[in-house]
Amino acid sequence: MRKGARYNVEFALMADGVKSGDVYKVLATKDGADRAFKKLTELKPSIQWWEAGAQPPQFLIAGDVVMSTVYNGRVDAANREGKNLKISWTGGIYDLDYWVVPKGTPNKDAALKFIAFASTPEAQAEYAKNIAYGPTNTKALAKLDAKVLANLPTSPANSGDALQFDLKFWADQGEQLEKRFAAWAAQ
Amino acid sequence: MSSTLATPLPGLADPQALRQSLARAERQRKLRAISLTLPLLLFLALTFLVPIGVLLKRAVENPEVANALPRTAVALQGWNREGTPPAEAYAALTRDLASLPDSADAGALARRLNSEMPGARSLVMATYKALPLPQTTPTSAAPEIQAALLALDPRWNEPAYWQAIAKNASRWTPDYLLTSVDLRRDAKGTIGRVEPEQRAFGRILIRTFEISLVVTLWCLLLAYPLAYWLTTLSARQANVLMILVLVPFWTSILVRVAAWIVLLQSEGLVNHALQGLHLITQPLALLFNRTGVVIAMVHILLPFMILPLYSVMQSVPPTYLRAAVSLGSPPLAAFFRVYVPQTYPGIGAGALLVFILSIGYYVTPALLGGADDQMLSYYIAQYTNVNVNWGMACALGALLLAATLVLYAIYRRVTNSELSLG
Repeated sequence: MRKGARYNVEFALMADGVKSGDVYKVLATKDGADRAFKKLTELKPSIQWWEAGAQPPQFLIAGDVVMSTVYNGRVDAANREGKNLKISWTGGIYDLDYWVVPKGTPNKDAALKFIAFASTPEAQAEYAKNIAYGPTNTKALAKLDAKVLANLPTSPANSGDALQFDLKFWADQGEQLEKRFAAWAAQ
Repeated sequence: MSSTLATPLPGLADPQALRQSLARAERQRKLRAISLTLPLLLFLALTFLVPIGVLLKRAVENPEVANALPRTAVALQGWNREGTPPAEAYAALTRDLASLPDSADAGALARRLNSEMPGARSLVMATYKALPLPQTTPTSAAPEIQAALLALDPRWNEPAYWQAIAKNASRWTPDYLLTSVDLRRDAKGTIGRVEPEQRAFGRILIRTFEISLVVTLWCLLLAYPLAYWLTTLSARQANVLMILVLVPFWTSILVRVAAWIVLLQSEGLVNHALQGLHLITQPLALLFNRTGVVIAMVHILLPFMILPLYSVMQSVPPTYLRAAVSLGSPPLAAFFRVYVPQTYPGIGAGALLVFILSIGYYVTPALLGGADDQMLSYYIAQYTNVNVNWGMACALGALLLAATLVLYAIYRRVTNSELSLG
């Protein structure tokens, strides 16, 4: 699992039977956080931590671990190199990336034009064909064949009970939870 | 011409003037010498003393709230920090937030308060973006503004957020330093220990020292015989071996760490070799735990132990040992009672060097260790890169610096000498 609190406390709560829709509600309470860390403590002896996104597929291929949390694009990339790794999509977490235009940039128009292009269904479908990260423009899904869709986190079959990563929750609670994770890992 | 020859030496006529001119010449010589070292002094001051000074300052500096909310700080001065604050505080807060020049200032304020009270980030940012408050003007009465603020976000009714503001209203704070030793100030300013599940840094500091101590002992154990062997060889052979010691020393740490990953992983060379020799049946867990960290750190730091030991051992005359044996001492006793004491300066210098270098280690434990093998620097990096909490990072840095200085002082006390590298 990733070395840190982020994602892991969510996974822990889902593993403990919390529905994905309620995860952040439960986690916001003191009891909820306790519950997440209690679940992690149960797993702690068997956990190997990773730091960089490239590590989990490498661990799996080297046989160091039998399963791992992973950024799905890394699995896709490893499979393209002929490896045979499979993803269980149940209880997955999906996170959105953002384009940011710095205030006062001289190239604002070009930046906006680029973002408009990058958000078109065609561009996003092409992107998803090259690495299995889900398009944010749902119209792109219609342009993809079943083989590509099977590897995408946002395809209807895979996103059933997926949890959307809550940026606002982590902006507020992140520092506290990370510090608690550090204390927990030290015990 | 004859007049030049006849000119008397100035000193003979006036000894006072001679003394003065000599003193002047001496002063000029000193000035010239100092001016030659000036670039180095300047370099040291700029790259060493100033950053450390800034680091120590950042560890106790707390400008965010004081800069952003000056009126609120005044309004909260009389508050007893229980229940909700007076309506004037609400009005002052609204005015302060509205007069922030840039959203970056609001961001800094939100970040600072959030590390004190989780949730403050979204509260402050949402309030800042919602200004000006609906149905009020800057001249509205304080209770009206209070009502409008509470309508915007009822969390403003919780005393905890106000306590966080009141507590951080002063420009200097001991909080970061207290947190780095697992203490905290509560809303009223009383100092106590943090809750057990949040207590982290004490344990991390102990772990940092523990790993460093183990690494130092292993280094000493491995380096001592090697350095001794080097002194017994001819100069030519010793040089060749010294190059073998120094080549890894000149290789990038990252490369060596990556090499250890290849060697130590469960399908790696070491495990394959051991399994091939039928010494083990299951691969040993050598990576992502304490074992891997210690192996790699000992390897990286070994030259720092070998070099001072070797240089001290070279200055020990081998005749002493021979004399002891010829006077009837058993060889082993002679070695430990005659030879080893003469190498104490080398042992002291090497051990101190290795220990102090290892308490600051970051990249090796980060890449080769598990979650419970991380040393203090890992958390400093975490606070700088991930949480962007410079105060906390600087406080931990100051803690590490203080620990190093205490160690050095103890070393001076015990050995009663300056650190010498041979």
